[in-house]
Amino acid sequence: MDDRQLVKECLRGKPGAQKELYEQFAKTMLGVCYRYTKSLKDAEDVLQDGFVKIFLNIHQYKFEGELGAWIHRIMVNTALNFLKRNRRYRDEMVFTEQPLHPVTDDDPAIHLDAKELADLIRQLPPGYQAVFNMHAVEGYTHVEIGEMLGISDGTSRSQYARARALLVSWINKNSMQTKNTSYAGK
Amino acid sequence: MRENEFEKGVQQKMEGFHLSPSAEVWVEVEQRIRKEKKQRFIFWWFLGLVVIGGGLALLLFIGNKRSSVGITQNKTNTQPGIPQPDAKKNGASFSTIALDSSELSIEKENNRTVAATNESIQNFTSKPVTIPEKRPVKPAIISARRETPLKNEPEPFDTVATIDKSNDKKGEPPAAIIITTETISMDTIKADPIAVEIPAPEKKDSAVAEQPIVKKEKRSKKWDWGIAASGGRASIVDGFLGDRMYADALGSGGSPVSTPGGSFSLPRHASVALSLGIFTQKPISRKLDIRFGLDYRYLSTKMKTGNKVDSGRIVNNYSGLLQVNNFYRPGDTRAYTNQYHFLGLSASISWKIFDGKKFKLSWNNGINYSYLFNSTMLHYSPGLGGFYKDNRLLRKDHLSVSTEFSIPVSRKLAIGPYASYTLTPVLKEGASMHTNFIDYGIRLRFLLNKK
Repeated sequence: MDDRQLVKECLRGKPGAQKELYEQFAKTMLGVCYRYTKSLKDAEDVLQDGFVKIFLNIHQYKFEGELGAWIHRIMVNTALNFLKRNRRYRDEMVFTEQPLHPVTDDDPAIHLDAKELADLIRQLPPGYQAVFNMHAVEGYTHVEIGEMLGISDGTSRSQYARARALLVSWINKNSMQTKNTSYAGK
Repeated sequence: MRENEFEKGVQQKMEGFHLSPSAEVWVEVEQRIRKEKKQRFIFWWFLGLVVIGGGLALLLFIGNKRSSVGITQNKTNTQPGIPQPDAKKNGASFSTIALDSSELSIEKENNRTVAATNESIQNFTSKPVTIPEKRPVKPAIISARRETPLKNEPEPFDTVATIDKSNDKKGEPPAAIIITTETISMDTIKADPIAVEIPAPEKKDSAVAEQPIVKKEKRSKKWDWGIAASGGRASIVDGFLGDRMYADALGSGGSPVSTPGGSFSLPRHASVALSLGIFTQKPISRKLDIRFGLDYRYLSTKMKTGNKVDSGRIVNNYSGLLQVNNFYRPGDTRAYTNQYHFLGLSASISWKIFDGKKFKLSWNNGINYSYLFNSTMLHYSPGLGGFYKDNRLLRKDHLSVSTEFSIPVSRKLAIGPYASYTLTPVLKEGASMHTNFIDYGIRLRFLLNKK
């Protein structure tokens, strides 16, 4: 069943179609939710909220653009709402404009696998984590991020720069450790 | 650019990042969708009820106002035996009233009506009009002509009522009068005198009862409204189109039965049925009334179960996976009530079988659409080894037929037995054999705007 047909069946409220749509996108979307949260349980909660929103508002999908992109956007918004709503995240999401961290020349080649990289992103403080995900992975501009998080684009830029610097340092550290381990092995 | 390369690298890695969610996520999603949809549906349903109720109330209000105006007009215009000339002549409206020699009564129209006879101006009270019967026709040419100002006539005055006596014989009363309720030009009236033939009264007759006419008018225009309440018993029975194989397998007492579509128990023991609602009705003929209603209906059936087990399980049935947090073991240690809550709309025709002075009886037959918005019905699962709740298996939209006898005990209150049979099955197609709700009992109807 193609996406259009699948959506039409979901609009008719067919449980089979809803299940199929869920199965088609759930794994990818859990990956998205995982990057924004600190635990798998929270990620699954966001996934659940997101899919409930998707099925209740599927009539708003006008077949303009890919279905996956529409679902992805809803899932990111749901994740951000979850962070704002959940005290554990909200209290740690402090956005302050700081001097931009210079982009260094020592950007590493990323030899980590996807899960390892996602786990590193999740180590970032919640504010950095959200901004980094939105800009580096989702591709939102700082102006858009500013609007979505209720901060200035300057704050978004500085948050991103610091998040990126942290992540690069961790990736470098991780690479060093891997090298040392491999040398030690020789 | 270095920055873009890093971001591209991260993006590529993350695009291929997938994680498998646990099975509970989908179960929860499914349950939440159903719940949210139900809540939305109930919200819209109630909003609809409020709108319909408000609309009906408005209609009743307007209807009552019009009805009262209609009754007043009929007192002057719709007496039997009085010819009704074209009401509009020369832009003025006219009413013709037969006069008795000694009695004249005219309903005031728009507060500006004057009646005059050749002898005196009569009063304006709403005294019953005397209707002549089978008197030889006596032509009387009448024209509106202002000869002298009418006695006691206030100025300015825009209503004229005079009688041309040229055709009268001595001592005989005039036969008719023309009343205008709008300002008319005397020249126009003179140029266009109105001739009306009216049967003149042969003898003084007793007044034809005015009241019955008024009553009849009231009955045909007014929507009566009231509240209805019923109490009785409800049960679930095998449908006429039921799958006999499964019906036979049930035996008696509602023991658990497994079907290809899912598993369930048939709760056969009758229990309480209640309903409460509002209705509106209107006569459509002397013998028939049409009636519409909105109501909440509660049905219940009883069954026996064993102990309750508080333990999370996943049940796979016709509607898919379901996370069950507790269930009941089979047994007969507990009495469990399966409850069903409906909101319904009904339309029916009421036939007055007997409409005598001493005894009245109406027979009401109708159809009812109802929405099952909540239930506690238990189903049996062999895999679970017990009874559990899953409202996904239940059909939500139901169509039923009902019959009711109604005996008025006062002008406002009527009471009588009723029975209702739901044509649609209890459970969804494929989930079960064909079974239907039935309920019966006593229904009270109380008219609120009946005096």
